[in-house]
Amino acid sequence: MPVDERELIEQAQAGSQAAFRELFTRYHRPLLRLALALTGRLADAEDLVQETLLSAYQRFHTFEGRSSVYTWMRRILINAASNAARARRVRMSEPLPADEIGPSAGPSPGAVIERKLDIHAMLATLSPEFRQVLVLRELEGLSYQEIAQELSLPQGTVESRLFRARRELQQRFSGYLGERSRDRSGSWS
Amino acid sequence: MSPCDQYETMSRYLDGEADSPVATAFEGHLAGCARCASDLAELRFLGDSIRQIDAPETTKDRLDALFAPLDQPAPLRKASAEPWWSVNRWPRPSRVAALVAGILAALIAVVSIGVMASRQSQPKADADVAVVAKFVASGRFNRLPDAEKSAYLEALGRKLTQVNEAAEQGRITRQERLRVVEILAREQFRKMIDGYYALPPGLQRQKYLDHLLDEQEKWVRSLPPAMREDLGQGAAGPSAEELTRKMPAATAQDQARIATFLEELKKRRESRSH
Repeated sequence: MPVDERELIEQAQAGSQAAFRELFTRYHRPLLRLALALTGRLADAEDLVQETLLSAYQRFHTFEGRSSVYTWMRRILINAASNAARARRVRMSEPLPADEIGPSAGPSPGAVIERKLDIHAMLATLSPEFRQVLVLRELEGLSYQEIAQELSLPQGTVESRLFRARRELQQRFSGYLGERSRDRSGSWS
Repeated sequence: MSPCDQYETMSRYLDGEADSPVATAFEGHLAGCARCASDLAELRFLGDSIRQIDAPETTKDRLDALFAPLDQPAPLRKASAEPWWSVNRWPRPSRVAALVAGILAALIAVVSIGVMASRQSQPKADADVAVVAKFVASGRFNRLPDAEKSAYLEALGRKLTQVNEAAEQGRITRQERLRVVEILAREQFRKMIDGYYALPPGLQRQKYLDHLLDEQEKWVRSLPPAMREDLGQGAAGPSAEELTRKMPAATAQDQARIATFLEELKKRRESRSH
C-alpha cells in the first residue's frame, strides 16, 4: 500500500472527510465501471456508487486493512447490487426493455444482431447471479476462489454459474458472436 | 456450439483454472476440433467485450454530487485519540448507569416542558427558512445546547440561497442575514479546529490545513454575493482572525487552542502563496 494511502486511511478514520474523499476519488471510476457492468444503466450505476459511498463512509472505521481499500469498497458495492437485484426480481429469461439498456439508449436485445454489439444488452439477458460472476471474472479478473469469497459462495457454485452464463450467452447469440470473433478488428461497429 | 461436451473444461481453461493435465489434454483436443476452437474464440471475444466496458471520467462535479449528502455528516467514528471535549472520551456507561441516566433525562425533560411552554415556541429545524433564520439570529438560539444548534445550522447551511432570497424579499432583515452568515462561519471554523486537533501532529495536520484553505475559499465563493459582502471580505472570504474575533472562547485553554490553530493556518497559507 502506498505510504500516502496509509496516511489517508488514518486521517479518514480519525474523522477527515477530505481524506475519505481523496481515497474514494481514486477508486470512483473503477467502481462506477463495475456498477455499470452489473446494472447496464448509467443512472442505476451511479445510484449504486452513491449507496456504496454512503455505506463505506459510515463504516470506514471498521476497515482493518486486511484487504485493499478498493477491494473493501467493491465488496460493499457488490452486496448493494445483489440487494438491489433481489428487490427488483429480474427474471432470467426476460430481457430488459430497450429504453432501460445501456448507458445510451441502444438497440433492444432482439436487435443485438446488428453490426454494433451492445454488451449491456447481452448481459441484461442473464440473471443477476450469472451476470455477477461473469463480470467479476472478466472485468475484475478475480479467480474462482476470490469470486467465491466476494459472494460468499462455494467455489463449485462459482464455476458452475460461470460456465452456464457463458453457455447461455453463446446459445443466445452464437451466430453473432461467431461472426464478431472472426472479425476481430477490435471495434464495436 | 460444439457437441464435444467439453464446455465446463473450456470455461475453466479459459480462466486459467484448469489443472495442468486437464489443460494439456484440452489443448490436444482443441488442435483437432474446429468447433471447440471456434467456441473458445467466441468466449474470448465475449470476455474482451466485457473488459471494454468503461465508465465516464471522474469529474469534480460528479464527486461533489456524490458527496453532497455527506456535507453535514455525523462525524466518522475516530480510531485515534479524541479531543478532550469529545463525548467519545467519556467512559462508556454500564447498562444500569445508562438506564439511570435515561430516567433522569426523562425527568429533566418533563420538568423542562413546563418551563419551555412559557417561552415563545421554538421552530423546527426544517421549518420555513425565514423563520429558522430569524430564530438563529435571535438571542434564544445562543442559549440552546450545541447539539440542538447543529440541526438548525445544518438546515440553514444547505439553504444559503434561500436565506439570501428571504432577505431580498424582506422576510428577514439584513442584520438577521448578517448574523446567520456569521454564525455559520463560526460553526464551520469550530469544526475546522475540532478536525485539526483530532489529527496527530505533523504531515496529517498540514494536509488538513491545505484542505481547509481550499474548502474555505470554495465555501465563500459558494455564498451569494450579498452574503459575501456581509462577511466583508469579497471572494477571499473572512480571515481566520476575523472569525476568531466573533468566536468567544469559553476558557483559556480554548483560547490557546484557537491561537495555535490560527498560527499554523496562517503559516500554511503563507507557504502556499510562495
